[in-house]
Amino acid sequence: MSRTARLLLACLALPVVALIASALDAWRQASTATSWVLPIEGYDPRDPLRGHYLAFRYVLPDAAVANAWSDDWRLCFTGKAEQPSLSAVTMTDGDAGCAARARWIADHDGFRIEGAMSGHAVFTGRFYIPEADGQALTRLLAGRQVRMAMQVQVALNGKVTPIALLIEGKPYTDWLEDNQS
Amino acid sequence: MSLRKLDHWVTAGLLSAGQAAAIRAHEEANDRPWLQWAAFGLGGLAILLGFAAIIASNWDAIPGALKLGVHLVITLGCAWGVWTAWTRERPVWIDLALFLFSGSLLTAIALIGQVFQLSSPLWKPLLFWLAIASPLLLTFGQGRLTALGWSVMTVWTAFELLDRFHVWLEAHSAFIALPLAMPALIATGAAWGLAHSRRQVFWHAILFCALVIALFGAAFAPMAWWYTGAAGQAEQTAWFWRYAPWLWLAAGGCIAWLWRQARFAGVAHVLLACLVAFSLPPLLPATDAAGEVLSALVFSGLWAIAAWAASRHRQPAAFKLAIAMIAVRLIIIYFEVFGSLLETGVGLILSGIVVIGVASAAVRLARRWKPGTSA
Repeated sequence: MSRTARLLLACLALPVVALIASALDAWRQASTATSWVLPIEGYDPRDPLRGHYLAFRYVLPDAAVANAWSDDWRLCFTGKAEQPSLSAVTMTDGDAGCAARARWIADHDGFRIEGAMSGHAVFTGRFYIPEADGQALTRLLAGRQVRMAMQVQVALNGKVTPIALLIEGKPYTDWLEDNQS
Repeated sequence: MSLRKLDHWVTAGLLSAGQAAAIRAHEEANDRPWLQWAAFGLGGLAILLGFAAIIASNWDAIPGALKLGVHLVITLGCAWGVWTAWTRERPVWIDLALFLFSGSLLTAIALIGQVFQLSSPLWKPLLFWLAIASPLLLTFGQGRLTALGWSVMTVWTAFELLDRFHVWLEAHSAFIALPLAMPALIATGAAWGLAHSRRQVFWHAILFCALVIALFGAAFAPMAWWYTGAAGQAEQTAWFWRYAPWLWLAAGGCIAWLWRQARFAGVAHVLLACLVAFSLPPLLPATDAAGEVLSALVFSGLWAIAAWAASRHRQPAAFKLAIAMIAVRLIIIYFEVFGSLLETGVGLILSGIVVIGVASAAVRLARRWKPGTSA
């Protein structure tokens, strides 16, 4: 096999290997993460749906949000997965007692603080939904008639990723199917 | 090829009737069933679109692992296509397979992001794609298709980076110089490729894209500047002085290297003009005056320099593009400057006269310089 042929094979293999590695890394992060359910509601009635993303705010204990005042916040998860207790911790507090620790991750919009310095901080997130369900979900989120929650994964590095939208404790697709017909 | 002109040529005495008959016989013997191929192509496309629609309608019901697995098979199939075309030495097929393979890399990145709900700003996946696809495309790209594809992706990435770092401009003043100097860096790389590689069409297309990007970027900067207003201009001037030395160092080094080689002197002239046009507005006093005419003049001036360089270096396609750009910009200026229908009408008539003037001047210049025949 010529030198150029080996070079071509290497150039073809590099992206395939890099893609598989990045998929495995994402899978590893997801599989070592812990799962929690956090209640959510609409926070901006003017524009809750941006593109195919549902924008919402997490309903967290006031004390936790008030104490997570800096941009470089840390939150400690304890208790049951369906009803976690959250409290703000500092960098020096250590892991004592926390089942999972969430923290600020640059450029991550799945779980981030807004208005950290204003005194009216909220934790917001966005979640990918199909276009067809957009209208119905936007109305439900704004109407606050049903209990909506987000199942999130907290990775070991502190990244919080919303993975499933729940309505009255059910996956939203099931709930929409039961209630639209 | 159209054979209708053969009769005219026979009448004009350029061809004998026998020669015309021989040409017809040859063309008919080598005729390809384009209509039949087109019908097969359309049918195949419809079937593919149908499958795509069926898959899309059930997208959320398909497990993530299955989606990723099928996509991996498609990507490997495209890689096999590249390898097969390369071993059979078919440049057109290599280029097509490379295009499909690198496209499948992009969709794979998007799919991984969707399956694992990764959210990240656009520049991250784009930069990742550039990092994994560039070695292949730049080493084995054969023609315009891959050259254009890679150039578009690079500009998009640079644009997203500029957009992102705009927020952190003060902290990243040196980094912002890099995407800004990108056209000069790519043009220099393409010049090196033209001097050292047999893939002339590919590197020529990359060089062409880099210069078009440089010209548009440089013309856009003064326009954005004059639309910002005095307050914004003062702020931008402060930022400008933080990154400008890095930009001048990176782009200036490229221009100096190109300038010393007779073959690429024209490229160096165009890039220098772009660097000057880009750097000029922040050096002027801040003003609230709208700069429609000035920014149009900068745009037309830059493309005039490009036309001049193209005609000197025997690049008829680039020359025609530059003249067309100037003509279009002159028409647009009348829409910008004039408001009412009457004024727009007068403006259009005037711009029509200007365009005809520019075109006839261009034809005269083209005849004198004869791009394509003399140095």
